[in-house]
Amino acid sequence: MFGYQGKFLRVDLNREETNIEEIDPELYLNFLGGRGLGVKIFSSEVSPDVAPLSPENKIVIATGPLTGTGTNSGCICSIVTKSSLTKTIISAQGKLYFGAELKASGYDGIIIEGKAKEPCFLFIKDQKVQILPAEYLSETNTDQTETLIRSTINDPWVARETRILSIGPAGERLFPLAALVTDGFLVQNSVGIGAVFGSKNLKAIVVRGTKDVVIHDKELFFKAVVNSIDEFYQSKSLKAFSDLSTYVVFEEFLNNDILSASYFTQSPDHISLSQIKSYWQRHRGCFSCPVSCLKAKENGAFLPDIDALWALGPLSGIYDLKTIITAYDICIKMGLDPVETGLTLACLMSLKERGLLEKEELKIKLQFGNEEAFLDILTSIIVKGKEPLLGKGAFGICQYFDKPDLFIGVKGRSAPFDVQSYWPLGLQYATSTCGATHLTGFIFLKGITKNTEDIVSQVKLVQDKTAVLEALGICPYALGSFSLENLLSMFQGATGVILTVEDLLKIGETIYQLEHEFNQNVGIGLEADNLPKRWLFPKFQSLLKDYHQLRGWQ
Amino acid sequence: MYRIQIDHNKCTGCRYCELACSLNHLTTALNPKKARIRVLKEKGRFFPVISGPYTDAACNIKVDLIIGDKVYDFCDICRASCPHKDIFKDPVNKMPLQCDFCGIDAPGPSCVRWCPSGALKLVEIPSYY
Repeated sequence: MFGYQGKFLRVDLNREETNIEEIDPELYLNFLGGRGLGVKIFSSEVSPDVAPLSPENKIVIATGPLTGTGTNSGCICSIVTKSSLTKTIISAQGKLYFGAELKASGYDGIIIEGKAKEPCFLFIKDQKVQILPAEYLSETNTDQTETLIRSTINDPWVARETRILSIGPAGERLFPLAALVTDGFLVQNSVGIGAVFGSKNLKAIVVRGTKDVVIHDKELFFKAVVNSIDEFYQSKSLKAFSDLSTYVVFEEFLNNDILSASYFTQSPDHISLSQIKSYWQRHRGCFSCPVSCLKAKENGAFLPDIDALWALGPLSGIYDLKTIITAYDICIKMGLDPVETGLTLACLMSLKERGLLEKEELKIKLQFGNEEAFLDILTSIIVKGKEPLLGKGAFGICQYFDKPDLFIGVKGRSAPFDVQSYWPLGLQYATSTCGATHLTGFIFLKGITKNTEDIVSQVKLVQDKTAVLEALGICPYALGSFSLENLLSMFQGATGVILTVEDLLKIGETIYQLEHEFNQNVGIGLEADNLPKRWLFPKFQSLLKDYHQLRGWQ
Repeated sequence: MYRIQIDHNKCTGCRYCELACSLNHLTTALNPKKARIRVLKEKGRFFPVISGPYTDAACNIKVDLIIGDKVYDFCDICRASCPHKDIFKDPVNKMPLQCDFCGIDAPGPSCVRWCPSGALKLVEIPSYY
């Protein structure tokens, strides 16, 4: 099959065996790949009752047909598993080079099952697949892990081009807050997956591939890519996104009270875009992406996106950008999800402010705006035997203190943006299959506002589009401006299959349906599609009802 | 005479040039490892390096290159394909690869045509020969 490698690698950690499996071409046609194929394989192999951290849970890493081909933003691989934070199915978006490298190694994806007896890491170099001991990597942060693994490779060029997906100490401690990191960059939407890796004693996946990705029609493909690059040069919105990254919505969010402070109790003050921009030294791009929206420091370390910056900053009462960036660095090194971690600390601060922490033996000096204490406690999260409470996440903490009403989030996952006046995002938070996140439906990239007439169908459309882009292996940020038509001609050039926009949206809908069915079997049904009490806006119930009706869910 | 000008300050590390080169030379497949231009990442910066001619002996003058306050291994930035390093060789049959200034979509080489950041540019320089 053109555009695909046609094979999946199955890794059984129990028996330390690896097998190569061919995938039915029908599955490729129906689910494309990436998130679609990942969700399909995962939901058909894993029973919804399994505990996320048990050996029976599996991890499916899948690339799409356009991953690593040179299609604009065609860089992502989806990592599908049952999240330990939300207990729902979750599909993370692995960006930078990992997906492309995995495809170049000759596999469309990896299925990981079982649990290794000792800490180990998976080493893939084309046909050569090894499960290697990782004792020397235990307790190392993600940065050290990458350096140590690279130092074992002789050729410096090969070492640099080896791609590593790893967990930090937080993942090894099985914290629901733990996320994945690849090449120093956070894997988006991966909160709760770090712990699943940790529970399997799998520290890292190392990939190096030198195989070809064969495509169907070179002329058509080449022209379509050149078109997309021209499209990029001409499009103002893409240029703006390239310059400002996710901060493109900053002013608008600030003016509409979507960005609030001190765990959603105050409005923020003195923080401006030009202050934030003064830290951006370099623009980085993922594999084959013209947009290059990632911002980095002079030494190449990545800077936080708007949600991470807000969670670690103003929502915790902190406005000093240096502190926020230091906190972000700590999160990445420890393998913690910065958004969830920031909001957990903010939640703890709000509990403390209400005087609920007094009785506890937690020696927490934490209060809104105390920068020193904030960094202290952040580093102490992963110190062995200390404050294990923090690792539970905001939802876990509120449950522990028996104050579930104080938790701001959906399905156990904290929300970084205040949606009281931004209804479409509120609906997205409530109906997302993996908790309160905008990462599965980029409402704001499409300019949908409270005053849009058909909020419900627009939200559904964006969710379906995001799902199908992830299935193709395209970064969902491309949703903003690249046209689906051009994408389809690239898809045709790469695979030789002709699809229409309607077909694509249908596939997106199917993926969403599959995820919903899995969650329903877990026991997280329609009643979990809800917003925190404080945020219930007047039209919410009717919007939600319409949404469920539109999806055909009773 | 035309030359490819490289501005490493603009390079974002997207590796479009590698993909374009491999697609042009392999005709139906993409494989950055078989490209005649490779992007080197060193100390948070990206350096596109275009392959030069094959030399059958490795040189013995190993120099460190100092740019700003950082020290780089000159061997990395050298564009020769030599017995000392495996870069710019076909990963399967180890044949040396050399940039041939291709042009699938005129004007100019495909890596320049695809580069979205403006790091690669085609410039005309006076010929002295």
